[in-house]
Amino acid sequence: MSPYMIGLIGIVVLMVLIFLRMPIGLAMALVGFGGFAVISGIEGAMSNLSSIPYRFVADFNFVVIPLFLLMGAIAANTGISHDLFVSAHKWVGHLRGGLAMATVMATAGFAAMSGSSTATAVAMSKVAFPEMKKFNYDEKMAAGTLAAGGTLGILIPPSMGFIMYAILTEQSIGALFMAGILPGLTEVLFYIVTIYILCRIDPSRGPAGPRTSLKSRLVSLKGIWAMLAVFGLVMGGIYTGLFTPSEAAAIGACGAIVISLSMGRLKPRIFGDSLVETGRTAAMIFILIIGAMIFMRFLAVTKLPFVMADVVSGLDVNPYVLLIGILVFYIIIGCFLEIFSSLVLTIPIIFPTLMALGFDPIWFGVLTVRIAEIGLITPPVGLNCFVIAAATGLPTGKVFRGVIPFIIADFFHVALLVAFPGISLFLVRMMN
Amino acid sequence: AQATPAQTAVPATVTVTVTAPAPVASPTPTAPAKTIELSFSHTFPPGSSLGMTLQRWADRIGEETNGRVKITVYGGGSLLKAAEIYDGVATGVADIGYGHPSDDLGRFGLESAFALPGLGWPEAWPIVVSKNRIAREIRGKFPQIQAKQADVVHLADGWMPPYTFQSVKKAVRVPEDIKGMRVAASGFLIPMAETLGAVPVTVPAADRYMSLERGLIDGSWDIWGGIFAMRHFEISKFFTDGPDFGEASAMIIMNKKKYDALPEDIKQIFQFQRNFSLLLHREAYIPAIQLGQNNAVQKGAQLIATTPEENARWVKALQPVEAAWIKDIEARGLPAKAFLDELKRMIEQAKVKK
Amino acid sequence: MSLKHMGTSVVAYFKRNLLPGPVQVTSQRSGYLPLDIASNFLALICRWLSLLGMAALTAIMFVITIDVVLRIALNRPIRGSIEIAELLMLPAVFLIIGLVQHLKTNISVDVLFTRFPVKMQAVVEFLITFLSLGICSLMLWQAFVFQRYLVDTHNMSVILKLQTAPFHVALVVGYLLISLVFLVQLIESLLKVVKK
Ligand code: NA
Ligand code: NA
Repeated sequence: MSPYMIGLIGIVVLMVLIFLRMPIGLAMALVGFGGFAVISGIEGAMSNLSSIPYRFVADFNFVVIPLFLLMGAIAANTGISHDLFVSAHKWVGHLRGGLAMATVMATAGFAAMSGSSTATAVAMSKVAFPEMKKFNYDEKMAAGTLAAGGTLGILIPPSMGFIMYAILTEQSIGALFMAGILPGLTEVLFYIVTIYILCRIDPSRGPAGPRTSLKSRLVSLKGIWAMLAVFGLVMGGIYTGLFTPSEAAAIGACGAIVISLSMGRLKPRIFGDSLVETGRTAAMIFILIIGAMIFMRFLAVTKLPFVMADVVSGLDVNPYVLLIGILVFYIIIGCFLEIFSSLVLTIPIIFPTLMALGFDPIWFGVLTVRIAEIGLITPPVGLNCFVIAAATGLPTGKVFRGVIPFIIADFFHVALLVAFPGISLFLVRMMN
Repeated sequence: AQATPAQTAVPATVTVTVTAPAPVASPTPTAPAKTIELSFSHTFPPGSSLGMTLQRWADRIGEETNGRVKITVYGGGSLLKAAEIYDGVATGVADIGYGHPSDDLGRFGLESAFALPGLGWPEAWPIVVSKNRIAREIRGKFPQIQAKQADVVHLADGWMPPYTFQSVKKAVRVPEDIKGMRVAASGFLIPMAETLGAVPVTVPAADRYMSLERGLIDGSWDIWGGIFAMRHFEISKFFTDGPDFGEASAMIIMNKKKYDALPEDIKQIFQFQRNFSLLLHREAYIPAIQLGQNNAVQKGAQLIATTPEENARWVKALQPVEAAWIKDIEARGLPAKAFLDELKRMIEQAKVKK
Repeated sequence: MSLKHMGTSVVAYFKRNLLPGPVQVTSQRSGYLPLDIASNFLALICRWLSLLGMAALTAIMFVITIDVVLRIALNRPIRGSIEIAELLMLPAVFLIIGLVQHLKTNISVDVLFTRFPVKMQAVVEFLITFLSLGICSLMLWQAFVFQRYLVDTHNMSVILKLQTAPFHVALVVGYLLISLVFLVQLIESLLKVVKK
């Protein structure tokens, strides 16, 4: 049997196990292990099991995940994030879905300091989900808002996605960061419209609150300083170069502790609860990451990504049809795989083809990262949806259903970016 | 056993005197048998000059064997992370691996000495004739190396260009200039930074660009290839070349069982391709240095060339790094002091011969 | 006092005295006493170890924060703060994986499963638990292998030369615990299959 065939069988087996409710991380580890053993031998497969858990957990790049979780948990459990949402509710709560819209904007703000979509989703979910629930928002829509909004983390700079693309293709990171800004803002707009339409169809998804007086709105602003201080600390520190985005997670968590302590809200019991929540969620996420890495190594040795990329980039069609073919290819890959690992395997094959056809490398970078965002929320393997499910306690199925309208919005948004390269390139050209 | 100097088919000098593309007098391959498929893992961007050079090495093996060997290259750490190089290759996660001795000091601790600053190699990079020979001979003298690396075969050495120091705000000419600077450092470069009174900051590779840009770090040691690939020339304003900051070494290793199972003539072809360093310099580093420097100058950066007097001050200032290295490697149960003494003796001997 | 009575009071003691607190651990009533005792005993260990893991997480946060503050204030960071954080990630994550599975909150997709008939659910659950136990015990075995490798090669962190092996013990313990939890859950699910 050819390795490609084994790869395809592996994907099918993985899907079956996942739908039989096997823990996803363990299912990926099992199939990845078995498949690798069939193709490259049992010794190598064993070696993956022994080194991957250590190498991917004792890694500073991943320290942000539990720390941003902790920051969010403390903000949520001490009620300082609640104050922010109370105020937001006073200001925009009379609009249908107003809080969800405010959440998207807050997420974009967070994305402007975090380079990772998962970290963004994680940080916002602990803060915003309980609040939207309190105001009787539909769980599905709330979860969808957070999962999709979180993906902004890699489109709005700083972005791990752009850094990786830049290194793979030798493009300017600075230019890519600039290029990501307008697409990121238009994505925010698309999500707000999506929420508007969802609530228009069914107002109970994001019930409108009573219209409040200007005075009570202004008074409510008193409560938001704590949360804004935490955000300001994290964002300000990164932008002034006091600390790295990775370190910012620890500073943010510590900041939330200090501020809530000073307000007299951080009781030992609350701190304990926040730690427990954080520890459990982080453990779930790491079981997933370890499984994804083991599975990815199996797919690498099947050479399936190489072959698929070769086929797509070898198509003899109109350049734009080819470009769309490539985007569809990545959307499909993104359904099943950890998208960044897939980029490492396939970009070297696909990028030269596109450049030969005269496409702008920065623009294609924006499209690539935009597609990578979609991969994070498409079923059956959508890391952001899993993370939101872990952080909110919702069933994954519910999160996936909630995210569908946003995926549809994503397709329209990608179409917009393809049709108008200027949205991506305008600021870059201004710079030069 | 591992391919020791005595077993290697090619005399050391051939590795540089034979031009890379010329087909070496390799044995005529026999009738095409079943294709031998091998995987080759490295951690560099596939499209970078180094990534493409490694691809070319793999392709060349394919050509020389008339397609009997097909090597699939996995770049960017998609098959093995840097620290996994030895165990990943030893157990067959990948059949062949490219990496640095510092990636796994428990296995390659002694060979990591090649990267120490101030060793004063007999020739200036990119000439590496003596270096190549010394590395090969000294491996044969220390059985601990073979004992620690029993499951892999050493296929080739690669010699990196010397480190450059890049800084954003302040030009660095003499050791005192670096004092108090925040310097991104890992591995060897940490004791180097500390020795010079700089503040080493461990910045994950992905955060490096931003950290330079936002002023979290003031500078770092890098090779031009890296400065170009990671786009640091967009930010740094000063580049100091000249002082002996050390030159990293790299290696290609292969799973021993896989290697032993190869037909004799294919083993020989692998041995003939030991002149990998040449390919590395001509196709990866020399162009990358050009590109990096040109881009930096275009962005208004200043290239600083130090004088011999200044260089001597650097050697003196960096002297304590050796002691730190010996302590570190001895703690792993390896005879670091003896190895370094022998290495220095061999370097002196080679200089005298000249 | 009968053996059964004693067993029941042991379980009750665990529940009353040791299990309350921030980590809520429910006792699974399989109707089979030794299994309930085992399950509760495991829960107890999971809880205490997870508290250790959370302590490690808190330490990570403080180490990085203090490092940053010292760097900004005195230009003198903590040596090796990042490698301390990296190594502490091992207890912070792996000492909690047992608890996650004990509470059955590992991330999974239940859209299809919940539509199966009850009998089939029991069979599928048994099968999946068996496979999970399989991969976790393989990983436990390989964690032992890796532990030996770290010890044999004197594996150390780069700056502080911290031995990595002691930190890796957390990983071994974590996989041991999750495997044991799966073993108990396997027997429970087998009982369910047999009962129905
Ligand atoms: Na971002
Ligand atoms: Na997906």
